[in-house]
Amino acid sequence: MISLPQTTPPQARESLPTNRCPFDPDRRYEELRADRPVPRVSTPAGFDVWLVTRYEDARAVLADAETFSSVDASSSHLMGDKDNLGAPPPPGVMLRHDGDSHSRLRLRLAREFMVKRVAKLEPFIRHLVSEQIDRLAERTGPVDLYRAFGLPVPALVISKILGVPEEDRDEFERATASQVDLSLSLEERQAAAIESAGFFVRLVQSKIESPGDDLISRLILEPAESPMDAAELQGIALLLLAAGHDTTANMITLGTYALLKHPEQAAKLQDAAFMETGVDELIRYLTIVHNGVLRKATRETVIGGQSIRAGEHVAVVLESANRDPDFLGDGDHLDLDRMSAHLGFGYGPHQCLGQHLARLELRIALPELFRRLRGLRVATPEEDISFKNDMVVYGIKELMIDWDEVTP
Amino acid sequence: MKFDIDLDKCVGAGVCAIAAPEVFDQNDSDGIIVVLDPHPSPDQEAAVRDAAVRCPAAVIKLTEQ
Repeated sequence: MISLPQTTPPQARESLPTNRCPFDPDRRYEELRADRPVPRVSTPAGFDVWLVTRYEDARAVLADAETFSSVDASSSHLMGDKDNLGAPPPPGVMLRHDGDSHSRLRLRLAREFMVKRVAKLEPFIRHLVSEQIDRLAERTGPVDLYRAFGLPVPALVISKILGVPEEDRDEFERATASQVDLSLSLEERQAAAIESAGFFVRLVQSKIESPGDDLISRLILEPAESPMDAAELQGIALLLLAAGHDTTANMITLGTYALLKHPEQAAKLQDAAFMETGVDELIRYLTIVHNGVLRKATRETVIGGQSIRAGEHVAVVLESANRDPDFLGDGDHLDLDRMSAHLGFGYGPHQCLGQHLARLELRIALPELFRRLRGLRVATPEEDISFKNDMVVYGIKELMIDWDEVTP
Repeated sequence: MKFDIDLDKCVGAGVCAIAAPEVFDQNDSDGIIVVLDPHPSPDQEAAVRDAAVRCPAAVIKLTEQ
């Protein structure tokens, strides 16, 4: 029997490791996994958490949603206000709901993102990617891949799924891109966030008045035991955008950079094997949802030999778990032929709802980019590239690229 | 090989449907697991094992080799 501490844990003497370099996790994770797998660290939001650094422990925490609540899961330790911890989750924002409240939302949405349904989007995504590369080709000189290609592709895919009218999609894309554009001031980004929130209020209202063939309309029209109200629908739309936009944009941009730095792997892009495994390996290797997925213990428990008390927070470090040598012997290598049970999409009942859509977008976008832009290369000195070390989603702030010619 | 399915735990992530598409699919109405082949042949064993390991909700339990 393991005895549980009766006193408050000591204040953390170390901070959350955020120094990635640049594809690998912070080097401190190697030592932590080996010697102190569940350390107590301070976080940017001003409270301490237990870090879970090993693969098996990460799976155990994320699988046990009864012991580990998601109420603060919106990265409260990175950008939250510690006074708001434990506040009730907003309607529709399922990543912060637990138990039946989560299942009710998840199971209404799972069918929209199931393998068969997502596969039907392939022609649309192929056409969209081709169109976006054509637009790139019209420009000369170095172009920021993140802004000119990474962000528009997933934004336009989500706008199609949500049923944003075609004439509004460019406006939608601009507003959503501005929210995450670090070249803009904080005030400008907040204004863009308010603009897109307003966009969703109007979108949901228009679907209530005249439904179409899209996700929001189906949620409105299809009979259910507990119908969704406008606030929930707005929450769902906002969450789907937040979860599916900047993540995919960063995977496209950072993934392109990683492939340029691993030409022997990029050579496999046009192989069928990439369709089967390469995207998952790239997601594992880069693990862009980093710096910890936050959970709150609902009862006393033990993880990795560490006692955790009810009410304490645990941050599951996916980028560390995905490089755990007990999970993969040579996990620091990128090998697009490898298939693994990686945690890049998380694990447990909250595992990424849109994972099949993300796979499909990347399977199309990355090979097409390398096939059509002959001589694709980074157009700035390497030391000028800056990375999103302290952000919720890892990536490159701006990746200036150039190419020799564009093939059809 | 044999396996059990715990339907109540399924969250419709669909990982089984890509890991072992000849054995598992998703229900059209809610994305929940559907068993296409309850007695998979030996050549499907690796795929079913992969599905069991990767399922985020631990729905698939292998019961017999």
